[in-house]
Amino acid sequence: MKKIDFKFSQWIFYVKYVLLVFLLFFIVSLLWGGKISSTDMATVDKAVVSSLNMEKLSEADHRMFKRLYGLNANDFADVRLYVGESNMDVEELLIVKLKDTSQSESIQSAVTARVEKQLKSFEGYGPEQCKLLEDHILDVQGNYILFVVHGDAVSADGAFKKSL
Amino acid sequence: MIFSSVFFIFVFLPVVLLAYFLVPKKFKNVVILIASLIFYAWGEPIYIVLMVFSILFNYLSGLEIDDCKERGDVLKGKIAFWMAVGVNLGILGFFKYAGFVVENLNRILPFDISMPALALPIGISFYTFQTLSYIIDVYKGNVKVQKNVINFGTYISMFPQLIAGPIVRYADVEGQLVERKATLTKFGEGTAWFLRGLAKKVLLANNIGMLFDAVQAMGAGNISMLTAWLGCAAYTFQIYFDFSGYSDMAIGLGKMFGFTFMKNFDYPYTSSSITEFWRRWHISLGTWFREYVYIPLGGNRVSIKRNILNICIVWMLTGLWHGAAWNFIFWGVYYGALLLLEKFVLKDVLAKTPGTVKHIYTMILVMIGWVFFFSPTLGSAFQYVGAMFGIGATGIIDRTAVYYLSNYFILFLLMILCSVPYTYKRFRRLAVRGNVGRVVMLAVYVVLFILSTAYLVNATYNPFLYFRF
Repeated sequence: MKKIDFKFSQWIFYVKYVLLVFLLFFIVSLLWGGKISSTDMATVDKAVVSSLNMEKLSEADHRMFKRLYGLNANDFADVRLYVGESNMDVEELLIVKLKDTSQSESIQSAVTARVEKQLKSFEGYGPEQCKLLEDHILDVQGNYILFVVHGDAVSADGAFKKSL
Repeated sequence: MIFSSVFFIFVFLPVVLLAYFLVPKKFKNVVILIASLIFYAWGEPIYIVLMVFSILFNYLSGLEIDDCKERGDVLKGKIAFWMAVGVNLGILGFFKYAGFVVENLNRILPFDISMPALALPIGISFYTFQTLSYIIDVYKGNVKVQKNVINFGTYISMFPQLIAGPIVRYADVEGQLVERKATLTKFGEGTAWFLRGLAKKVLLANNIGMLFDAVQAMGAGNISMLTAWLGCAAYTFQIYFDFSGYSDMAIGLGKMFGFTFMKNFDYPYTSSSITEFWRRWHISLGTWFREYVYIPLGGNRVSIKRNILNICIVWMLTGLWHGAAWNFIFWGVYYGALLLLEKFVLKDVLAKTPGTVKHIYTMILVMIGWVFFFSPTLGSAFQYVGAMFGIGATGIIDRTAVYYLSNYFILFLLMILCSVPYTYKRFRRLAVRGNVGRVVMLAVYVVLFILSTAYLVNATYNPFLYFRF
């Protein structure tokens, strides 16, 4: 096998340092651009809830979260869920604080499945409900996720972004 | 991307296999490398940068260490070695443990250090250990340096075992990276391994996981003793079939591409002691710690005091490897303490104890261990263990427990059967019973595949439990 000459070994040395500088740059850019919010859930929750008419919504527990989304609330940093009081109300508000951003995919998949299921349920006889469901907002902002089905969904999203 | 997904099974894998078998031999590793990088980038594209860095940096470090050795420059070789070890552990430490360290520092410091919660790069614990095995073995002269960057990249990023192991030591695949045979028989064996793993994950782990999720959602303060034990038993089976299912799929995929990986599980729930359990559970991790930590520390060829210290270090690191949280550290220390107890105190007692009693003793301790593993905090783990023994439980038995027991009874039976070697041995015997036996075997695999696919089509995103490590 051909022996590496000395000049090449010096090259290795320098390329390794260039790679390390690149790694440092990558990590710094991750830290600066991560859009990670340190705002606590209570603040975000209060801001979003106060932007909506909550007449038809009531707060649900972790079991309901499990039932509707198939996920464990304990796996996430914090979860707030509000659901319609009657079976005919499709209004829903979900705010999730992630432990880390890799959990985002599971929430997004669960929300998509939830919307599809609801659309199937109201298809054909609930045009208003279907319209609300189709206009739902799913907003991922770093370590926070908002899912809202509501006539004022846009306001809720605005309040959500502002609170982070 | 996960193995147990419709896209992987019906699109990604067939395309990669087709490309792999169509290209000439010298391009086969290129196909695996490109496929692996796409596979890795699928879930978290940004961290592909880290993977490429890891490949290039460790490749160059290996060359530098080898070059220094050839030139007799011991000091420079040592610096290059420790630098490689430091950078690899530094990356792992930063992405996996920095948040945990800062969180604990903030508890004791009068001011708060701000630290964004970065996503954990998938598989980082696994591929870091693989790169370390290479660097250490090159430095020690146990393996030859890899001068082909494609071969090295293939070793580090190989998609069959990239995300959750088995942790393949470079020494074990050194030859296979250059010369391996992908025969039809091996491909068939690989397919069988893959299907068994898929069925373990989709049919057993995911289904029993629903029981565990339901119990966990109730909270430890609202369940009876029996419900607590049922929840714990559900997780005990879920983690086994989930993780061993992944390992089986990884081994199977490896075989399809002509590789042979070590087995990662050997029916751990048939063990008669904790020592035996750890010889059968996550074998590749145990082997790694033995080869690269325990033996270099002196292993058991030292004084008893030093041996005890070595065992404690290894098990604390094993706990820490699984996650940056106190409950994982406690879990590691718990096993360290049990192993020490078996080695120095219970050895003679266990030798005289009937097999069934030893098996029950092992399973109870393993199940308690899993509570520390699945609980989000150390406090909640103790609360759950308390509920298992009646402390803080709503009673010994309740309607919920009876409901779950009756609903999941068949599944529990099936899982017990699949946790012992007897069932698979009986199944394997079909192969030697002529054509009829082989047709029955084939039919079983086809049925498993159809059932698994049917579940996958309707299932939500359900990643492997070990992805978070």
